[in-house]
Amino acid sequence: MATSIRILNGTVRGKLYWRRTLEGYLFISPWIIGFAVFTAGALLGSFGISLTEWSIIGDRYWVGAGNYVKLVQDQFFWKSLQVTFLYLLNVPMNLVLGLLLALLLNQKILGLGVFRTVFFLPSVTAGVAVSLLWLWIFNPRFGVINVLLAKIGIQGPMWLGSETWAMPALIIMSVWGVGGSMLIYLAALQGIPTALYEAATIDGASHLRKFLYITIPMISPVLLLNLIIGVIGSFQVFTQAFIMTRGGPNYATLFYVLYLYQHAFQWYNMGYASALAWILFIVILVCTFLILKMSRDWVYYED
Amino acid sequence: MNTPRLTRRSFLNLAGTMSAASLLAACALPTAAPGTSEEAMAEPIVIGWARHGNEVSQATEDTLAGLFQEANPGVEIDALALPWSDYNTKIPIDIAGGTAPDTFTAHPALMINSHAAGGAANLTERINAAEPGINYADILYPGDAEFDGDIFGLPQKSCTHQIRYNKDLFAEAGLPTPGELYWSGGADAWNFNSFVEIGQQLTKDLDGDGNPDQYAYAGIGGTGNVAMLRAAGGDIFDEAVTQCLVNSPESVSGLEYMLSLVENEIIPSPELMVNELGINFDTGRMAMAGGTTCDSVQALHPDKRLPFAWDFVVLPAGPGGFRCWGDTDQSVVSTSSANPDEAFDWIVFRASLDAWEQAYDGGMKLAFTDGPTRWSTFDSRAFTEPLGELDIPMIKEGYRHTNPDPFVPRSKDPYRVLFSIYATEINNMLRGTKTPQEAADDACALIDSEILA
Repeated sequence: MATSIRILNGTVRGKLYWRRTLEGYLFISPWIIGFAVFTAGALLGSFGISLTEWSIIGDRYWVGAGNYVKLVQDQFFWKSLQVTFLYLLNVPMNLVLGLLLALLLNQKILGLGVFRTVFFLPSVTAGVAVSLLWLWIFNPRFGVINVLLAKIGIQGPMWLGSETWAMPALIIMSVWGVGGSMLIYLAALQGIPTALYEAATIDGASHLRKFLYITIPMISPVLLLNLIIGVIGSFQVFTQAFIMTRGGPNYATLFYVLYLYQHAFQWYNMGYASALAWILFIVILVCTFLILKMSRDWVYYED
Repeated sequence: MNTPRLTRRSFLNLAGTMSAASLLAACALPTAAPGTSEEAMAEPIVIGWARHGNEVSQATEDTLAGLFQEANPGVEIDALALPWSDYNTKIPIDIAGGTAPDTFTAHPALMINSHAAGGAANLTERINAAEPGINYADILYPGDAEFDGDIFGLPQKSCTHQIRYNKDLFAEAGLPTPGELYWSGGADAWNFNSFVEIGQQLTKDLDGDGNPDQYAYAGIGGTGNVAMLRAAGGDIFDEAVTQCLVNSPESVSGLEYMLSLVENEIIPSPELMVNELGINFDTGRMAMAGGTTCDSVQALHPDKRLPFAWDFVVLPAGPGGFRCWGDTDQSVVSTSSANPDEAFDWIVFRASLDAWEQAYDGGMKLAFTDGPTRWSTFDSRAFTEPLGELDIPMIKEGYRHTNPDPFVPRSKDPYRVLFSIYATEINNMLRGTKTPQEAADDACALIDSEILA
């Protein structure tokens, strides 16, 4: 009782508050230290490196903004940026497909758990294994896609061997990972109060109207989340290009991160690679900021 | 009954103490173990040695280290074999941090970079002092380790990149083998023209669907296309590495020849990705394919044996004669080594024929894991007995035809030139999206702007 009174008048409350705060920080200290050393420290370090010319081996030479100036004049920088922005086309496609799948798997049908597992499994399959699998699927002569196209009288393209088709092939392949966003949609769909649908049904709303005016607004925060995750993921795409195309043919799949990797770990231009990394960081930051800014017009938060 | 309980307070105290202790432990610097000066005297000198490789390479190095230590009591070799990609990240960072192993393997590009960064010690005086015992004239590809007349490495292994051919497919087609052609007539019999004539008979449509299921040659990938360019009389750079020569008339004629191989279906177009279809040398559906004389020999192991007879041959001669790709992984002494004398002794042993023969006597066959380091290796039983099924004089010919020495252009970013810029333009040409002249001009434009500028 005495403690309660003292808590109410605030004298001991301060002590307890600070103690609990300290305890809280103690518990999260491994993460804070990890973040400070391995993330924030590395970030600042990479910015420092970006102002130097450094081949990993040997001395660093201060070049100031030289790497950033060189970057603007580098045709492969612009090419890789163009290729990466083109790949962003996969984002709306996967947003729609993920939602459609989630809607299908939100029905009460037999074997629902099996379907959900099957659609989600590709998302947890190792990227290298998936890339090798799709190499076969896209094989121009014996790949399943071209074999099926041949059955209906269409000669399939050279896919990964073609400058024109390599990028569409990788965009098609990105559908493989749609299970991740599907799962998030599914959770959001199941969180929509059924009362809203019941009320709309009583009012005579059609399925389409219920979808447009209840489902979409209610899951719009999740749409935003998937959009941001998709955009960031697309800017960071690497494995597919590294395993399947090595940036070719004729630089048609020279993704930004692949180009960055080449400079850092194949050609040992660590300063230039760090500059590339910082530009990517800024590009992702700007894109995310723009998306969040625009989201105010179309994302509905219940609270 | 009172049971001991961990209260919230005691738990927090314990957690806090452990966190603090862990942090302090992590921050603590390692200190030398206390001991008397006698004990310190008795401690062996530890020489760090790193190479790229796998678990077999690790076993190889441990065995060789054991042999060295027997002859050099008081010195211990701490060997480490790392996978290629890890190695190429770790070693440069170690060099930069001044913590490089005392000795390490430097492939040509790493050799160039290590030398430029001052990470590799100049060994010229040590080698001169060790003559004639070291017999430097016997070393393969000395040029890979020479910079401005000084020597910065001794070979850990040297390889040539040759053509492997399937003897059974040649016999089935009633054709003389490339080896027979080479030994019977040299460049008159084994050349660009005979390669096309033979190749046209070895590409076959086995199932009658109108598409070849067996090809004569796997294609001109990686190192082979530079060798072919040089065999045609062309090159990537001039000798001073100041001018791109890919668009010289000789080089373009080499590119035209490569394109003719695709047009004649002697090699598959790169976009077909036939390897993924199971059309490759190992499946017996590719009559000839590139292969190094260091790694491909592993196909003679009982558990890796190919289901057909095969052998090596050098690339066919063009107007520029026979040209092979060849390179050396050099053992270098790090400039940060505290024990350069012992490190040098180790790399001398590592490059010696003694190492091969002592290892062979102990039951380890270096011929399967390492390429030769010296000309005398070709006559050693440690090489001839394990590889006796192969044409060993032909393997040796590959080294003889590796010209220039070093073969890797000593440009800035040599791998970018060879495996990105040049390889992309070759690919464009073979896919038919550029003519040889266009591909050559574009390659030079990029080399000029990205490398030479």
